[in-house]
Parts: sequence; C-alpha cells; structure tokens
Amino acid sequence: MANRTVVQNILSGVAAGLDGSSSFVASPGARLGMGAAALLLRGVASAVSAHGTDAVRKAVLDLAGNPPKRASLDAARDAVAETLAARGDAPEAGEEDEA
Amino acid sequence: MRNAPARTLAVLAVAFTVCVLSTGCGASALEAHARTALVLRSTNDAAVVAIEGGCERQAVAAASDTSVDHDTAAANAAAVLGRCERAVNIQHAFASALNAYIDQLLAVVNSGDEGPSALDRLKALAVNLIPLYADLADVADDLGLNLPHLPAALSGLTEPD
Repeated sequence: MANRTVVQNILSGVAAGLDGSSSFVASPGARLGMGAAALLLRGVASAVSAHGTDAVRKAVLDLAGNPPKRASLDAARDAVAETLAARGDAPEAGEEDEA
Repeated sequence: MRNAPARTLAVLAVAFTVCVLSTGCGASALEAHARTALVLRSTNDAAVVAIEGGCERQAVAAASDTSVDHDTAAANAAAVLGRCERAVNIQHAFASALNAYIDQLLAVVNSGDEGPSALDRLKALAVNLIPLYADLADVADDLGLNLPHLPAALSGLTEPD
C-alpha cells in the first residue's frame, strides 16, 4: 500500500512536471516525479534539436548531390532543323551546296 | 506567357518569401540558408524548364512560319535561338553562383562552424545571387517567360543583422 502511494506520488509528480504545475511538490516521490519530468522534457527538447540539425544536414547533402540544372538549347536546335527540313519550300539535298 | 512552369515559379516565390522572412519559428541562420538554397534550386530548375520549353516553341514557330520563305524562316529561328543563347548564358551564371552558395553551405555543415565569418561568407554568396537572378528574370521576360522577381524576398535574408 505504501509502495502504491509512492508510485502514485511519482506519477503525479511527472504529470505536474509535464504540465508545468508547481503546486504538487509536497512529497519526495512527487519531487522525484518532477525531476523525471524535467529529464524527460530535456530529452525531448534535445531530440527535437538533433532532428532539426539532421534535417538541415540532410537538406544540404541533398542540395550538394543534386546541383542546379543548366539549360541547353540542343533540343530546340534539333527541332528547328527538323521543322525547316520538313517545310514544303525546303531546298533539296545538295541544292544549297550548289548555290 | 503564363505556363505551368511560370505558375510553379510564382508559387515557389511566395514560399520563398514566407520561408526567408519568417522569424517566429526559431530557425537558425543555417536553417534559413538551407531553405533558401532549396527554394532557389527548385526555382532555377523550373527556370530551366521554362527557358528550354519557351525557346523551343518560339524557335519552331519561327521556323514553321509559312508566310515567309525558307531562308527567312531559318534566319528568324536563328534570331530566336540567339536571344535564347543569352538567356541560357545568364541562367548558367546564376546556376554557378547558386552552386557556390550550396558548396559553402555544405562546408559549414561539414565543419560545424556556424561562426560569424562562415555565415558572412554565406550571406555574401546569397547577395551575389540577387543581380544574377534579376538578369535572368529580365532576359526571360524578353522571351515572354514570366519568372518571379526574387531579389526582394532574398533581401530578407541578406539584410544586416
């Protein structure tokens, strides 16, 4: 029964620590719970910070691995050549050379 | 000309503005630079699509113009490609400057040095992108391609601390 009360106090202390309440600090169990909550919150904050750093690192590595694209007019030149060759008034092969 | 790439660019420009100018999310300077580089790379890649697609359409339209003879059509298409060549050169300059910015970002991440001098170098490289992007937007405009004017948004990142 006594153990159950201590556990309850610790759990209540964790709850009080997590929700920021400072009203529940009477028993050693509650103070232990508050300490556990503080450690838990610190761990969560550290994990979030590490996640943010990892996210930046991942984004930068992605950027470095996929450099900015460079435009090319090769396809446009090919399309123009094909279009000109397909015109009804296109000079016959060799005609330009003779001219 | 309001095509899909242009709309994508407009959306990216808005996202860029929000990303760069937002200060309430607790982001570090390095995070802001990383987001900026990501958005600029996407914008650059969309600009490539807009330039290549727009130039091909205009050059082919000139080449297939049946109101003029073959030689005139060929000359008109060549003139279009000449203007496009200038756009491509400017886009390459922007891509190179963006690459330098990304390289510096990678150096900072790898070294873990987020000191003032490292961040100043990043900021200088970001500032260098402003006139290059303005040139790119201008030359694209000459081709009838709408690129968003990013420098105003970019200045949010490059203002003095």
